[in-house]
Amino acid sequence: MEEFTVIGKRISKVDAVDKATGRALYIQDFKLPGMLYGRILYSKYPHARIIKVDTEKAKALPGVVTILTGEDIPPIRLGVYKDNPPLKSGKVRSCRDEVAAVAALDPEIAKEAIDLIEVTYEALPAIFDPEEALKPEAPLVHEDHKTNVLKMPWNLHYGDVEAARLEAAFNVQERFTTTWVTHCCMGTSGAIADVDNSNNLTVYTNTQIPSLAQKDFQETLKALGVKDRRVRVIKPSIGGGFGSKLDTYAYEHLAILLAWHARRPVKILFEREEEFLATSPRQPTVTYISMGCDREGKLLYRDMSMVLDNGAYTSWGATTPSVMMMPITSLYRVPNVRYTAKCVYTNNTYCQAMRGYGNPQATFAIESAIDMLAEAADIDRVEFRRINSNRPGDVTPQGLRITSCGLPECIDAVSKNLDFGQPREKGIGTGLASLIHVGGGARIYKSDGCGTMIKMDDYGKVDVFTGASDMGQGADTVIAQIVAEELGVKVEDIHVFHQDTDICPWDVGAHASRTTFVAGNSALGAARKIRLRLLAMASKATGVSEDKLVLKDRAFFAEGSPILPLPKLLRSSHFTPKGQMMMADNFYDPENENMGRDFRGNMSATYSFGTHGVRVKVDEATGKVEILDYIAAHDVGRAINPMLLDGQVHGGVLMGVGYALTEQVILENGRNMNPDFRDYKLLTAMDAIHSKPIVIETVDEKGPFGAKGIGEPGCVPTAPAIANAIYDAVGVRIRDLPITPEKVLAAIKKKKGAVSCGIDVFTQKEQPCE
Amino acid sequence: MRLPPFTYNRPQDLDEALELLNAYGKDCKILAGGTDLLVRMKQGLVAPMNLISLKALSELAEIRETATDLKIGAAAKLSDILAYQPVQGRWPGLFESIKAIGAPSIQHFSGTIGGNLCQDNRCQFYNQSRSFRRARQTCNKAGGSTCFAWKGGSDKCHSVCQSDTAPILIAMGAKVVIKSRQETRAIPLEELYSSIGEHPLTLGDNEMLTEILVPVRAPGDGSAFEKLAYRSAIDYAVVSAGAFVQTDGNQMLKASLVIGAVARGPLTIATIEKTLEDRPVGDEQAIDEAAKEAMNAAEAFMANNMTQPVEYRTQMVSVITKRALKLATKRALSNKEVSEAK
Amino acid sequence: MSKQSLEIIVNGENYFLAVEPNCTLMELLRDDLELTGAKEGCGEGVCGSCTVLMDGKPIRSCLTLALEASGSHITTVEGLAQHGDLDPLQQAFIDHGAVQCGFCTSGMLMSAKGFLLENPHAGKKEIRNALSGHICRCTGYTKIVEAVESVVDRSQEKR
Repeated sequence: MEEFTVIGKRISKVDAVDKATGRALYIQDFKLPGMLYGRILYSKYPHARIIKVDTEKAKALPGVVTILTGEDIPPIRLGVYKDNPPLKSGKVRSCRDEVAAVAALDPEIAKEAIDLIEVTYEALPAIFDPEEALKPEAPLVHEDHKTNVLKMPWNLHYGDVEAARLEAAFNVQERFTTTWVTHCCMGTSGAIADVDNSNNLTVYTNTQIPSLAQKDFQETLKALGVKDRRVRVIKPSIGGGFGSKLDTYAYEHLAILLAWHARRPVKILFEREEEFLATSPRQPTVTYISMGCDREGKLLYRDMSMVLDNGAYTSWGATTPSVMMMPITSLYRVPNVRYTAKCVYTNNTYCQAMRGYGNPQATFAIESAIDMLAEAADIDRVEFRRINSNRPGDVTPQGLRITSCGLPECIDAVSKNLDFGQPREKGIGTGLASLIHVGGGARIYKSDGCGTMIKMDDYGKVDVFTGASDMGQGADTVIAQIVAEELGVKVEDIHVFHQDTDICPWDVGAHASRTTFVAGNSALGAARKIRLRLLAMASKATGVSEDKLVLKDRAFFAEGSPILPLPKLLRSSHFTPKGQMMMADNFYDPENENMGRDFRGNMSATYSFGTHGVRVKVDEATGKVEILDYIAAHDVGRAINPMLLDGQVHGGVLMGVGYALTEQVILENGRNMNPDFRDYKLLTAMDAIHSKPIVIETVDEKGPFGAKGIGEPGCVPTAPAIANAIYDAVGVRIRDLPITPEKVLAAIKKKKGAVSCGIDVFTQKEQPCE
Repeated sequence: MRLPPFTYNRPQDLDEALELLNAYGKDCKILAGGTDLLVRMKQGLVAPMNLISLKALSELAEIRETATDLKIGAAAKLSDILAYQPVQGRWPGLFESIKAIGAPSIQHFSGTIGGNLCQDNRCQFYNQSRSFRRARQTCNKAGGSTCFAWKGGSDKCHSVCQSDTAPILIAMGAKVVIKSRQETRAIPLEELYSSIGEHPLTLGDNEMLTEILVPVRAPGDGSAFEKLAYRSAIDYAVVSAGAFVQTDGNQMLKASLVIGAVARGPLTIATIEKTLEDRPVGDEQAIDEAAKEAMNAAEAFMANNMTQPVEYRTQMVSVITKRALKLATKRALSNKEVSEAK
Repeated sequence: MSKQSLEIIVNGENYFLAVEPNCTLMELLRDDLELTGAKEGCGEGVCGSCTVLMDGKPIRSCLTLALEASGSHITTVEGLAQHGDLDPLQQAFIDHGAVQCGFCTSGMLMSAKGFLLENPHAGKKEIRNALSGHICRCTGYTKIVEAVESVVDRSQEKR
C-alpha cells in the first residue's frame, strides 16, 4: 500500500481556528461604507391579481431611499425555466412572491416602509395539490404556459417492463409520498450588491455556484442596459449550503437592482422566518412504484411514476428526476426499468436542490418496496439485497458504468452488525437500506469542469486558487491535503482561496458531491505540473536522477535521507538568471457524459455506494419512534480525511433522520405555518443518535488518490432504513414522510383493528378501521 | 430582529416595583427572564410602553423550605430550583416539569418559575410575525373578532396554555402569592388562570406574582409530571400531565390530575378524585377510567392551535394521564419514610 | 425613548456606554462593540448561535436586554483565547472536527464553556443535555459532543 504523509490523515479543517475564535466573517458580519438595507414585501395571497401597489406612504417615510415594484424593473427571468421575475407584476402565484423592495438607511426603517406599502389584490382560485393541478379544470398558475405541466418530459423505458411483469413470480405495487423539508442553514441568506461608477458590480453573497451566479448577475446588469462590465462575486464564510445555494434567488437580484437605483451598496439579509418562507425546500413527490422478482429473488423490473409539486416557479427542484433516474435504473441490478415524472405548477413554494437531489425521495420508495418484495418472496431482506447487488464492471440499463463498487461489502458490514448485538424485543426492530449516488461529478451542464491555479513562493508556501466552493463541508481542507501530498509540503503551508471570482478560476458549482472528485482532480493536476518541474530542477541541482528523488516533508530525499530543502530550490529558481516562477494551472473536466435524448449516459465518472442499518424502538401507545443504534457503511473510494468524512456522514445521517421522522414544512393553502425552529422540528443534541460510520475503501482509479464523493450520500437511505425498521418492530408500513407519531399510531391502531383509528392526516377525516 | 421601543425600569426592591406597576398600570409588562415576553415583543404581539425588570429583586429569587411549604420566589431561575437539593427527591414532579422546559442553556439560566406560570397562551395562528398575521383577519387574541383555531370560527380565543410547571403545581395544591401596592393575597394557583384565551391570567394590572408555595410532602404521597413532545428539548408539549396521589399503601386516598397543553388554562380533571378515591392501588381499571375522563374533558377544549392534529393530541391525553398517574402512584408507595427523613 | 447608561465588562474590559432600552445584548456586542462572534441564527432564543456567558452562565444574547447585563461580566467567543492561546475547548473543537460551517460554533463553545465551569466531570448524556438548546445542521452533534467530552477527560486526569 502506498505511503502517504497527508492523505488519509485526520487533519483539522483549515478554517477551524478562525471559526472557533469568532474571526470568520459571514454575510451577517459584512458592512460597507454607505451601505443601505433592503427588504422585500411578499404576497399576501397564494394566487391573486395585483390591482395596485401604492408606495406613496412608504416613500414619504424619512430614511427610505429607494422603492421598487414589478413595474419599475426591466424584464428579468430567473431560474432554469426562466419563469420567475425578481419582482412580480400583474399577478402573484405564491405566498412568497416578491411584490416590492425597499432600500433604507437602516433595517428598521426598511421594515416600516414595507408595512406602509399598500397593495390591492384580487384573489384568484388557487391550486395546491399537484395531482389536482393535472386536471383540465384546474386553475392555471401561468396562463401563458397553457398547462400546469412543465414541458420537461422525464420518461425512460429500458427493456420491457410489461413482459417482465408477466414473468415475475412476486410483485409489489405501492404509493409513497414525501413532503417539503428545508435546508435550515444556520446562517440565513443574504447579499450585498455594490455598483461602482463605471457600473462594475460586486456582489457579496452566500452561493455554491460563484461562476454561474456571476453569469446570472451579468444578465441582470444587461437587463439594466449595462454590457461588458465586470461582475465580481465574493463569497463570505457560508453558514451551511446543502444545495440551497445552487441557484440565484430574487433577493440577490433585488439587492443589485436597489443598489443600481440608489447608487449605494445595498444589503439584504434574511431573518429566520424569511429563510423558511422565501428559500426553496426539497422537492416533494408522489411516487407510484411496482417492482417484481423471480422465484430466486432476482429483480426483473422496476416501474415508477411520479408527480412532483413544482410550486409556482421553477428552479432545480424540477430537474431532480434527472438524478432520481440513477437509483431508479441502477440501485441493484434490474434489467427492465420504466420511469415517468411530471412536474406540475401549483401555488405552493417552488423547490430547489437539497442534499441528495431527488435521490432520497426515490430511494425511500425503492428501498421500502424492496423490503416488501423480499417479504413477498419470503427471502431474507439482507440476502435479497445481496442477490441483486451491483458489482464492479456492471453497465446499468441507463448506461451507468459501474467501476469501483463496494456495495456488497457495505451490505455485509451492515448485516453483520444489524442486530447491534442486542436480543430481539417487543416494539424493537431493525431495518436497512442502500444507496447509489454520483461519486465522480455529474454532467448536468455541458461542462462538469473546475479550474485550479497554484503558485508557490520562495519559502515553499503554496497559494491554491480553486473554483471549488466551501460552505463548511471542508472542500478547502481536502484540496489543501491533495496539493500538500503532491508537492511534499505540509497542510499548513497551503492557503486555499475559493472566495472571489476575481482571482479564482471557473467551476460549475458545489453540487452532486463533486467537489472532492472534480476540484480535487483539478488541484492534483495543477500540483503535478509543478511537482514535475521541481523534480527536474532538483535532479539538475543534485545530480540525482528524478526517479531516485522523493519529495516530502518540504525536502527532496534520496535513499531515505534529505538532500535538498525545498525552499532552497525554490529560492534558487527565483535568484537565477532566466529563473522561473513555480505557477501552474489546470482545468479538469471528468470523462462523464451528458444524458442523451433517451436519458442514457454515464453521467458520473464513478459512483458511490452505501448501506445503512438502524435499530428502532416504537412506543406503541404514542407512536413515537426512538432510534437506538445506527450504522452507516459507505464506499468512498478513499478517505482523504477520515475526520471530515465522518462529519459528512454524521451530519447527513441526522439530516436523514429528520427527513424520516420530524421535519416538514407545513403549508396550509400555500402558506407556511411553521416558519421557525420551534415548529420546524430539527433534532437536537439530546435527540441525536449514536451513528457509527464504516468506511469501505475501493480506491477508485479515476478519483484523486482514489477518492469518490460523499457529500450527499449520508442522508439518502436513512428514511427507508427507518421505515423498514419500524415495520420490523411493529408490523406497520408507513408510506408517507415524515413518519410522525400520529401516523405510526394510526397505523398501529388500524392494524390492531381498534375502534378508533384516528384521523387520516391527509384527508383530516376519521378513518375507518379495517 | 429588533425590539420595539419602551422605557426600562430596574427597581431595587419589591415596594419600588409595586409602586411602578401601580403607576404604569396597563402600559407595562414585568420582565423576568424574557424568554416569552421578548419574543412576543419582537413579533409585535405586545408593545408595552414600560418594562419593569426583576433583575435586582433578589428577594423574589429565594427558595426555601418551611414546616408547611416549599417557598419559591417568582423570579427564582429555573436552574436554581433544579439545583436546590430537596426538589429532586421530594418534589420529583416539579423537578421533571422544570427539566422539560425548553433546553438547559436557553431557558434555565434566564427563565424563572413565575415567568413559566405567567407565560401567555399560544396558538399557531397567533404566535407568528406581523406579516404572517397581516395576511389574515385579526383574530380574537390580537384584538379582532375571529378564531382560526376553532372550526367554523369562534367569538372566543382558543389558544392553549403551554406552561409545563402549572399542571404539576396545581395538582400538588400549590398556592401563589400575589401582590399589589395596596394588598397581598394568596390564592390557589388554579385561580391564577382565567381560562380566557385573550387574557389567560387573573392578575390585575397593578398586581404581580411574587411567590409560589408548594405544600410539603406527607407520607404516602407521590407526584409525577409527564410530557409528550416530538423532540427531547426546545419543544412545547403535545400533551402534558401533572399527577398527585395520596395512598395508605393499599388504597388511593386522594388523587388530582391536571392536563397541560390542551386547554386555555391548565385543565384540572376534577372528576378523577371521585373515580380513584378508595380504589386499590394498582387498579388498572381505575386508571383507565380516569384516563378516559381526562380525555373526554380535554376533547371539549381541543382546538387546532398547534401544528399537531387535534385527534392525536386528544388520544394522547389518555396515554399521558395513565403514565403520570402510574408514576405518581409508584412514588407514593415508595414514600413511606418521607416524614422520618425530614 | 432615551438612552440609559450601562456599565458592563466584556471579555475583561470595562465599558461605560449609553444604550437604548430596546437594544439587546447581541446588538450591543455585534453592532457597537464589533464582536461579531456571536451570531443571530433565529433571534427568538431557539437556535443558540448567539449564546454568550453572563457571569459565567450561558445566556441567549438575542433575548437579553443590554441593560439587563448592566454590572455583569460578559464573555464572548472572542474572549475565550487568552493572550493568543486557545482555550482547551476551542482546541478540542478544532481537533475533533466539531466545526463545519462554523455558524453555530461560537454559541456551542460558550454553552459548553459555561457548562464545564459548573460540571467539570460531566458525562456524555449531561453534555448532550447541556447542548440541547443549540441547533447544528452540519455535524449531527456527534463530534461536538466528543470534543466537549475530551476536555472533560483531561480535567479528570489532572485530579
